[in-house]
Amino acid sequence: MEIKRSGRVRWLLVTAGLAALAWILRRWQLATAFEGELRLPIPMAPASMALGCTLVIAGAAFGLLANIQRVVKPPRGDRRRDRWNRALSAPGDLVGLGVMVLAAFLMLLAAPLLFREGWGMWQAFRLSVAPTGNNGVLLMAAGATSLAGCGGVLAVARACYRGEGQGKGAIVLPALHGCLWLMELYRGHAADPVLWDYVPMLLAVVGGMLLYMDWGGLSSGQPRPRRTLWLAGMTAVLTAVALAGSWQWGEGLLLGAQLVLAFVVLNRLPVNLEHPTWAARVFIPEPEERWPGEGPESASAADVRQTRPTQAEPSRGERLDQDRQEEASHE
Amino acid sequence: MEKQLGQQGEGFPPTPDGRRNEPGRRVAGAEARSTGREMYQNVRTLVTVLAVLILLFTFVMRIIVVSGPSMENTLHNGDAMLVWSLGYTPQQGDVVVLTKRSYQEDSIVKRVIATGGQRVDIDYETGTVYVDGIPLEEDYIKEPMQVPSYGEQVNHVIVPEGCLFVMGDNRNQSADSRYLEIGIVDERCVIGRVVMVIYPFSNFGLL
Repeated sequence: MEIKRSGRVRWLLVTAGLAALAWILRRWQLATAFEGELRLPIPMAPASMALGCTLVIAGAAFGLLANIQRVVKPPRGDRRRDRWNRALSAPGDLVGLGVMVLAAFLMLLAAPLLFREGWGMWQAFRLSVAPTGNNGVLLMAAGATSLAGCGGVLAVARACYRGEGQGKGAIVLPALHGCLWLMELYRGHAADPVLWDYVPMLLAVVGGMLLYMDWGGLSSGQPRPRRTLWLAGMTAVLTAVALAGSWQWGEGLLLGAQLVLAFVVLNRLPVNLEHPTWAARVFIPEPEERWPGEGPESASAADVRQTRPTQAEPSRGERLDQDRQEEASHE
Repeated sequence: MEKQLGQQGEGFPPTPDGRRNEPGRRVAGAEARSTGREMYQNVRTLVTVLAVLILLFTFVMRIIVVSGPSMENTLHNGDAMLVWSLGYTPQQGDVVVLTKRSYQEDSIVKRVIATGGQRVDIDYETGTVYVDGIPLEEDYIKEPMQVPSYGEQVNHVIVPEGCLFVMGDNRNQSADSRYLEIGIVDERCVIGRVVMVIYPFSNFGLL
């Protein structure tokens, strides 16, 4: 019943629908919108127009969904960054854990493939008489950082499954990996005059990087939950478009991983944003951080659990005062 | 240890806002927090700047390095040039960067001699290029034009609509539209127009 009340189904359905539509349109475009031996784009081709419009509509639709998404701010924790830290937690959710582990596994599989491809380019570059073009170093580096990305996703999956607060910042590791991947992609296509050849992939990687950064922001005191949802939707759609084109196996696995992670966000974040009781439950202080003399099941802790979700949000002025006091205490 | 600290914390009175007052622990926590936050902000800045730069260099402009002597004396081997792509339509006389994948994967830089619908005639005896019967005044070429090493291949041609006839300024060391493997170039092969040389600084300036 909780699912019906939340915007989760709305997000998942709209995203899946738009991603499938974009995938089909991209296939249509590849079949009809390019001509000649050089595969130059046909100006104003219907498939290209339709795909472009779909991407714009997707951006607007996700913007609308993000705007109407109910967001109940979690109660203020003992620490400022803890407020949204567990916004993507799903304690005990084995399916969620399995899906995130799958994404990490895809990144792990991509690493040797990228490295092998990069190594081949490096060998060709080294042996060529007049070495020009891509030497494969960035691709090898992208393969290596893919391992770090895998570790980051595993750490976050573990933290989400256990409902822990620590370790969620590791989600920025895939973003760092995305930086190298993006540079490699650009370098490989910098001389390509046909933007449609590589821009879908480029946008998908950029979307994934920004999504990971926003995800990390939830744990770093810089939450933008609505934008995170928007980015997750756009990442899913752009990744579907990229997957409809041509890609190497390593790239395909990485795209698969970020598609899966985008849907993890869309599946979990709307529910957690809408249910303050859930969010509040995880803000109960850890046993060692309780007040001196306060037992693990004391009445005051139970009161906190029950009353926090229903507490009225402090006014903006009160919040600013609290932040100032907190910052002063840090100094 | 944490629990011991918690018990010792009884010695610290709570703050007025109801928070625990443990000076050492708070300072350590604040340092860890600020380090983590700073790291996140640094990574976020890096990711954002990189994404913006890549998108800028894809859709708006590019920095491309000249390889070869075919555009001397306008451009030299190793010059880094700024190429404008956004909304560009090739015009006669522009220096453009283009990629003819049937010739080579890397891009090449040439000057647009004629656009769609114009007629080009090359007279090697006088070293003159005629466009629609009018001789071009080419003060930008390096030296008087001679028959290129690949022979006379494309000398008299009407450029189809949507295509370009391009030549290098170093006419005697340039594979360009006169060469059959390159020939007339489709406008869609053009990446953009060279706006300026940005490096080396001795050649810095608008084109």
